[in-house]
Amino acid sequence: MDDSRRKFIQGALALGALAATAGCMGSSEKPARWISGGPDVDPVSGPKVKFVRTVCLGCHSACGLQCKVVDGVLAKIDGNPYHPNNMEPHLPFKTDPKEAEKVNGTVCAKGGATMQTLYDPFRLQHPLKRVGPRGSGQWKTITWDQAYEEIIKGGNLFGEGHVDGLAACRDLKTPIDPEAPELGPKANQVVFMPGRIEHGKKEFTDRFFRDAYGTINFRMDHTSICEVSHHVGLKLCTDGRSHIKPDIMSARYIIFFGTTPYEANFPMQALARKLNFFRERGGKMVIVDPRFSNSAAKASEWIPILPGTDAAFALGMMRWMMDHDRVDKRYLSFPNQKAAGADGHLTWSDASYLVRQDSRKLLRPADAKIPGDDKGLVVWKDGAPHDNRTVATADLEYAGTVAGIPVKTVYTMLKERVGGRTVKEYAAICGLDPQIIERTAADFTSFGRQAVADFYRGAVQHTNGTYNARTLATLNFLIGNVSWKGGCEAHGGSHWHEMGGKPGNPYNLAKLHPGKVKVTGVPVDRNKHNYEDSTEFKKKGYPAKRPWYPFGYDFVYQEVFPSIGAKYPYQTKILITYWNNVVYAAPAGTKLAAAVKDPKVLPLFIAIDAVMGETSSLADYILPTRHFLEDYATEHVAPTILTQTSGLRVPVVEPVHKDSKLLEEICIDLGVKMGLPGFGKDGFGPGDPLLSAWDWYKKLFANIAYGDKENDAVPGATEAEKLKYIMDRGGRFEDYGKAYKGDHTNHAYKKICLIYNEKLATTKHSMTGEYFDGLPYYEPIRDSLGRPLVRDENKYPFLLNTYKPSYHAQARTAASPWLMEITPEEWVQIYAGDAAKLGIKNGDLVVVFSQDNPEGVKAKALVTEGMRPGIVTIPHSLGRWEYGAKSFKLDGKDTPTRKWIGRGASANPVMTVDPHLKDVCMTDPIGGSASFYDSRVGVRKA
Amino acid sequence: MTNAEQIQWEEARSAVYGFFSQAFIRGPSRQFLGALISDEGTANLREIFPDAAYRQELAQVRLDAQEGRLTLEGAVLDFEALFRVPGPRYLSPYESVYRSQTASGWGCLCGPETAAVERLYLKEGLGPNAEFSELPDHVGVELEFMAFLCLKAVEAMHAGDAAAAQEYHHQQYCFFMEHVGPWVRLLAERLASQAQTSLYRFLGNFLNLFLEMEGNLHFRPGGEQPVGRATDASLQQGVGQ
Repeated sequence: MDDSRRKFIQGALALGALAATAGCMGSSEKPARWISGGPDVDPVSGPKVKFVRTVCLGCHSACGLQCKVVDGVLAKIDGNPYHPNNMEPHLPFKTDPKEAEKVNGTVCAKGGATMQTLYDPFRLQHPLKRVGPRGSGQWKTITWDQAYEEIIKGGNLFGEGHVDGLAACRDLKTPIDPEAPELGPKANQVVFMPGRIEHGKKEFTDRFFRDAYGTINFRMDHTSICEVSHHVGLKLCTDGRSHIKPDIMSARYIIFFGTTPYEANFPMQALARKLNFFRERGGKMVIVDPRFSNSAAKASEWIPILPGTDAAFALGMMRWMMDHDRVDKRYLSFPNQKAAGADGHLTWSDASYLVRQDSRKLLRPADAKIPGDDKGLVVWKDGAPHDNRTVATADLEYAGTVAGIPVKTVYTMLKERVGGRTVKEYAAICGLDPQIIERTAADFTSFGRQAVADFYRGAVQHTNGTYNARTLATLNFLIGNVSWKGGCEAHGGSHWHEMGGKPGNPYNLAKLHPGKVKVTGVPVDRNKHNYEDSTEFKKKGYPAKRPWYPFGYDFVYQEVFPSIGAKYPYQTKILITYWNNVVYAAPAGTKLAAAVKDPKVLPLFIAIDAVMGETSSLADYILPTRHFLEDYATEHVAPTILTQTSGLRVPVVEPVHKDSKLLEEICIDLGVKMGLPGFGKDGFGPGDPLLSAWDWYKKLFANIAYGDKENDAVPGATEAEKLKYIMDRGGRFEDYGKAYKGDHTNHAYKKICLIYNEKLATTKHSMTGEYFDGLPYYEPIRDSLGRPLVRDENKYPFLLNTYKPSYHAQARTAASPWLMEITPEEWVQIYAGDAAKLGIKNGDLVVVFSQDNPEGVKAKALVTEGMRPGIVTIPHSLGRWEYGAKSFKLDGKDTPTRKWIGRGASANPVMTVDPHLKDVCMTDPIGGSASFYDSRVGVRKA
Repeated sequence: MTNAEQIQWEEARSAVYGFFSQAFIRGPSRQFLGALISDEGTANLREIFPDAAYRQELAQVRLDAQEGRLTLEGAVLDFEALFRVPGPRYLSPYESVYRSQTASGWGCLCGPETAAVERLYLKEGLGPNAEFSELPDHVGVELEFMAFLCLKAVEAMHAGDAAAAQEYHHQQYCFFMEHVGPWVRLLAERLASQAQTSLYRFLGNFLNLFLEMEGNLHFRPGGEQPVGRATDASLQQGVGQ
């Protein structure tokens, strides 16, 4: 061996010793799989790192977070590996929390960036009181004591005359209007209007505003600008379920209408991850959306439908399915649970039930003059009527008379409805080739029960939203896929009941409320109330002054401000908002601001907010509240997750601003000062205090820890140990292996699937006096008086569309520098052919305008082939005009600004105002959804 | 070479592959940097190649460290920019990004090469360690696999199993020719040119030199050159050319 080789060996072996640490791979009989695309080694690690597991609120997915805190400062956010939103499969619940620190679940860009909104330098730090006219942007800092004193006692607070405070307004006996006693007592003139409010917290504010203060307007929250007609439509299709999702991990075909599960929806991360597995297995995903979304890019097929015509598409599919005998008639012919169960089903349908053609009601045994009580319904079999509970199958098709009453089965009515148009005619409504509908129907019915039709916001935030929801849901009923493995999941794993009342729960919170008040009256948005029961109807009949929403099962958020402005059905004296930005977030929201600007119309407006938002800037007082990373909640998840899940939100760090308060603390302070029942040292009962947020949450957490069933508690000898057990893990999570039971999902929906809804069919529209339709139905876009929307299509040739990018969420992300850095400048997305006609090039500044907003909004154009012609899309979350984008005067000085927060545009200001009401966007008269996708606009170069 | 010399040679090559593997996966630590620029560390490194440019660059690393131009923080930032953060100096240390590139730019992550090397690792019973989450075609993983194959050959030679040793030499040849050879020298050149610290400039040139030597000694296109039969002349040729 020569010298150079010897020296090489000598140096190299020494080099080996220099780098002698473990390599990156190891040998074993069963080597671990390589993680494709896994994250880098975590740079935040070591003994100084404290792990805190909580639940995210970057969007509504409620993913688990594994937060890493160094010296009291939040340094990094990862996903909680115990939480089923964050891992596939998630860690077994018994895993030692220290061991779990070695594993990071996934977290999306929004979740990781929430630490920037926690430390946002523009958060409000002290209570503020306006010192100029309302909305003038002039504020002074006050103490909490002053704020409470003035809010409770009222007085001449602004030099504009006397204002009643909370104490004076709490009149539980005197009717607001003696001539219309159904409106309830004067306490209803106090309105609590949170924007986003989460479980644990909403039950707490219900306790304060409804059960202690006594207002019927106890929680007018945001869901109607989100997707409420999806919930309402499904509640009108099921016995109490408001959400469906595909069982993605076992499905073979999924068609998504109006949603982009790779970018939005919830839980977004879990949907995207599960769909990757689904696609790896060869699953076929179809995206129905006018925009070529991230999801469409990963789909087998993209169907660029004309917005608002989803029901027509589904009816076209039904037409093809009926014509080609591709409906599961065997399932539909089971008239009760027992009969369906004998064939393996957990659900059954109303397809065979007889409907009276004279009254729209379902035929009862007494009507048919057959034995049976009023819980029975009537079906037709062997040429005679029967109580549905007494036969194993029934005729699907029958039209005739029973005891002289004209009747048809639900299926016969559906078949007639579906047969009213050809596939070609349905396709024409959708602006599509008929072959697309035919092919989709053929595919949908080619995978047995492992095919699912899902939908979300895009299909329902229209004036016909509830009808779209019911029609799309019915596609699933026609193939009998509900609650089957790989089918349509209408329950999901659900959660442990934090409010108690189940056999295993130690605390029944509803009962731990001495002196609880029972509220009466009509809410200011008229939700869940029939116009026909009002004095107004008795005096003047149809139309009502403003719409009533008997099926507004949640609330009609966008209707609250204009109702306040119109003092309808009564004047609102005090409005309290929490984390609410309706002015920014609702369609045509800028029009809503006028409704709350006049103190003579709305005497007192208190905003509870962490920042100076577009809506809180209109308030009289702003009470600074905490960020969710300083807060508590008990979070649930969507039925995407098949295992039982209760996430716990807990403070991750000490409050950044010590003079801010949790919403619960503000309510407790007010409750104690006002002597409201259920608050204070005996709040839960003698010697059982409610003096802090933890007094509340420790009971909710304990209910989760002990579980719903007896002997279902987590390990731990004492309640404190059990609480620690679940808080260490960020919640309570059923193990992944419990997702299925045989051929069904484990926590499946086991009740009826309603193709026809009797209550809907027998309820009238408050403005037209016409009955709603109880069947799957396509209705064109209409205004509040039921008239077709008319707009000059030459002047406004485009339909306006919005979506939520994966890196933004609603009104809460524009203050994150990280997220804004990855947000493109081009914000108005337009089809290349349309752009060419208008001479618009990529990056040109353009104006999007409408009849209701001729000035329009401005932003740079993104010219794309990925858009249906005639559609313009502006994604949501930018175009802010407060939130730090603009200065305001605080204690006589101008506050600093960050102009980049105001970058881009929002579509909302140019959306259509209802032509009759003129102060609010168009709204679904059934579910109450705000119309986001029915506005006609024009586009010009700026 | 005698059998003992062959074993030593194989161990030395394994040590160099292992050194680069760790340098590119873990990034610099205080311990790594300290050992590298220590008297003993520099002296040993200096002996590996007689090439003057190589020795000059090594001396520069030591000088920069002594005079404060090379700090741990600076080295970490350089490493992050070169190997982790996809900014203007990012090298993208993955074989499939280099191998599947087109005229219009870089190729994609997780290309066919990623799957191909993963299959080879699994065939040898090798999986990623628990805390490791990089892709299998990361430069550090491929170099570690070369180190592994060298050591397996050593084991076989210790056991007197010539057939097994030959088999591992054959695997080295295949893996180098099919994976390491076609792209790692290009990465090494880019590393040397895009590094902002003398440390990574040196490591880039050092790796290039080492792979050139490997190619000349053992991995020539058109046929295998058994490790034990490599001539001292070819070693000389591979050094400093």
